[in-house]
Amino acid sequence: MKKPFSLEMLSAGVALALTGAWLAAAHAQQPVVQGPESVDDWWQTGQAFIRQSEKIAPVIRRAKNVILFVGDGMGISTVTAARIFEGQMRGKPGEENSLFFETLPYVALSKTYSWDQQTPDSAPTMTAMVTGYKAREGMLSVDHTTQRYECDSSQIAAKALPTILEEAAAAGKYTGIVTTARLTHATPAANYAHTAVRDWESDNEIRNHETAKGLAVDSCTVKDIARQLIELPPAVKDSLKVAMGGGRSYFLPDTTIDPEDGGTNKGRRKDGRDLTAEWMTTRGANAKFVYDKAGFDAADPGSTTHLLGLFERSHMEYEADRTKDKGGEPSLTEMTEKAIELLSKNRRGFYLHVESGRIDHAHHAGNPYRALTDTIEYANAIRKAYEMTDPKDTLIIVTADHSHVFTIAGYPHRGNPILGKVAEVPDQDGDPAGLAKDLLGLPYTTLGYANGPGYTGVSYDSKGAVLQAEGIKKNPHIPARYDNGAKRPDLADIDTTAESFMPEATVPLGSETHAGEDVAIFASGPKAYLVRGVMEQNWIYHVMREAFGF
Amino acid sequence: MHSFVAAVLLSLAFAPYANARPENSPASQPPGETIATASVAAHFEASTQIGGKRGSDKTDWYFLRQANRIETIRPNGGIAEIWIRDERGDLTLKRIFHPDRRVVEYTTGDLRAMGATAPWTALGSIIDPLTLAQQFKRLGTVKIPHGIATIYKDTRKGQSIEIWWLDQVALPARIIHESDGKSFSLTLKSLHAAPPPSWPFVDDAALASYLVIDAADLGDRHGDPFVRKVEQLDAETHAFDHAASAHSH
Ligand SMILES: [Zn+2]
Repeated sequence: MKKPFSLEMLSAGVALALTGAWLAAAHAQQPVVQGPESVDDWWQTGQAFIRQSEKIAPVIRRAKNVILFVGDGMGISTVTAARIFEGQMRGKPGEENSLFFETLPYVALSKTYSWDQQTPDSAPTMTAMVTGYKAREGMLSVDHTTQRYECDSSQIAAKALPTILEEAAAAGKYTGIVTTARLTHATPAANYAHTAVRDWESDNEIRNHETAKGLAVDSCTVKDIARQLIELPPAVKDSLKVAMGGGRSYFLPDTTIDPEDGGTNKGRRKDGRDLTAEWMTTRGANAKFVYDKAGFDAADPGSTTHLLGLFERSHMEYEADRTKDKGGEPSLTEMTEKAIELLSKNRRGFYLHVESGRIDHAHHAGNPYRALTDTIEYANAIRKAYEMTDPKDTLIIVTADHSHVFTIAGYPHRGNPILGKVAEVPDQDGDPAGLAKDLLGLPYTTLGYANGPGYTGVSYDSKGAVLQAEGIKKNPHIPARYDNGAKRPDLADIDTTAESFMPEATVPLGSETHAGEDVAIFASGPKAYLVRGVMEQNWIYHVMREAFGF
Repeated sequence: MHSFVAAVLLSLAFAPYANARPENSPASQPPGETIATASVAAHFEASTQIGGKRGSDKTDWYFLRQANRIETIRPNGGIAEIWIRDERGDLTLKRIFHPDRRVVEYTTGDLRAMGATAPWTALGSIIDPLTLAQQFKRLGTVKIPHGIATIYKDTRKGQSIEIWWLDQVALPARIIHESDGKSFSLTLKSLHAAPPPSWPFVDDAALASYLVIDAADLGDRHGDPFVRKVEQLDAETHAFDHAASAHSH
């Protein structure tokens, strides 16, 4: 007879096993590690899945609304680990948990390569999703014939690809963008900006490019990304009712002191323009600009026509750190909720893009804790959007732009802490689950990276002095070089579940990298049944377009 | 076998602490705060010797401390680093690369995510005084041109660190770290209440024309030659690693 799983039971079992007296009769013992399910549960849940699946009726009519959720860098291993982590935070083993979006009825795989990259960055991948065309590394919503560093605005105009946001605007729909990254960052920017260089987020970067390339000052006529957001074509300008995220300094002149951070922190624009003020002056009397939680809370979606929220000078905080922010910030869920309230005022519907932008950054820094907590908050935002809309008229697509070299390794037992060290199912029932050991006799973590800053060789500064000895690297850590001898560390006394713990990496790189395998696409609502099989990433656009009936 | 980072730091106190420390907060300063935040300008000579060759690599190293701003300048490398503490006790770090006219900025959030919660007094003293008191052996005192220095030493796992500590300014006068046949030393050459005009300094006006990159964006700028170069340049961080200590069990 199986008993329900509980953590207390697991630890009690370990304690009993450790007394030793029980070992002799180990064959008669209950397994120390066990799931909560009865034998019958497996059958019943399988049957329930079939009955539920049989009831799913494809929604063949057109969509009034489309919401495109993108988890930046949220590969499938990230989804799995976050699902387990969320379950474990609820006191469950975790593996059986589902993030909200995993319950959506349709799933496919997305091939993320770009026109010129086997493993892509966020610019061509989001371009693919919002224009229907694969594109070049680092370029936003321009076709792949665009020259690298093209800064002639007429050339960019000629190569520009219309985006689903622009087409929704032309159809009289409201549009919106929400992100935890900068609003000018590649993923959100691909919705509204057309440029050969994703890094040209303010005019400062373009002027800097002119200097670096020996070009005449102001010879580059292409507009920076922040300016493109403010100077949208008329229909798009009126349609874009809400834009919220980080990146305030890209909208403020370098003479203006930042409203939240103060001190010597100023904007970065060289043209003297305050684009936050221009948002207000160009969008009517009921336009609003907010930069902190109080301003966000005070922004009434009923009376506000155009809401610009820039909650950080650069990216917004990770969800794990959000409550520590100086001015306070809304969560991704709160921003999504307000955006939908604002956009729902249009009976002709809306297009909304929501990005969880910092899963990617946490992985680059070798920080699973923050990547997973941001993924869980992403799932919360999707649940909120689903609850606020009608699946009969709203297509929700949930996907990622690319993956990361993040792995779930070894044979950890059911319920083993996902951020912890691998402990396996014991060979004898009744035995405790001991830490698995590698061929050096050392324990290892479940989560790890194929490359990045977690390489365990000795690190040195540029003068040859040792920065950190061989073994686990502790943040902050900015070495000049490593020795080519990554000795495995002994993790026995290290708390690998700590918020800043950096797992081992095989290849030493300053930043961990994206990965080239497919990512998942989850969908519900009108035409969601078109999300099927193994898809090219740019086909996501074609599904949204078909749903809208453009 | 377990090792930990002893947290002997040059300028950045950029290593994690084996012992838990309070969050930075101007409202609740530990003892020594007054001294460790008093304005001081120190010129050090950093020297690396390999295989007993003396003075093989000497560089100037300037350290400027004010109540809420700490600068370190390595004129040879064209590199400077500025820590700022705001009224909440939140820290930001700017790493400045003069030849490239670029700044890499670590926001409060970036530093928090990196676990960089070194107390301000540790940043302002190069070495965390608490680490010194708890982990090093006091050997005696020595009279030097800058005052009376207390000598501390710690030897573990084939490495040794000797520190001559000036209590009156909460700064080391000398650090000698030896490991694997390499010797790194930092020696105080001159000490002032304010930097003499002849010293190199970070010109905030010039800095305004530099391109600022957010540290969180480095991972997505792998194609940028500057980022590739920056990844070959350490932050001015020296965290000397030692064998097992009281903190490992
Ligand atoms: Zn990335």
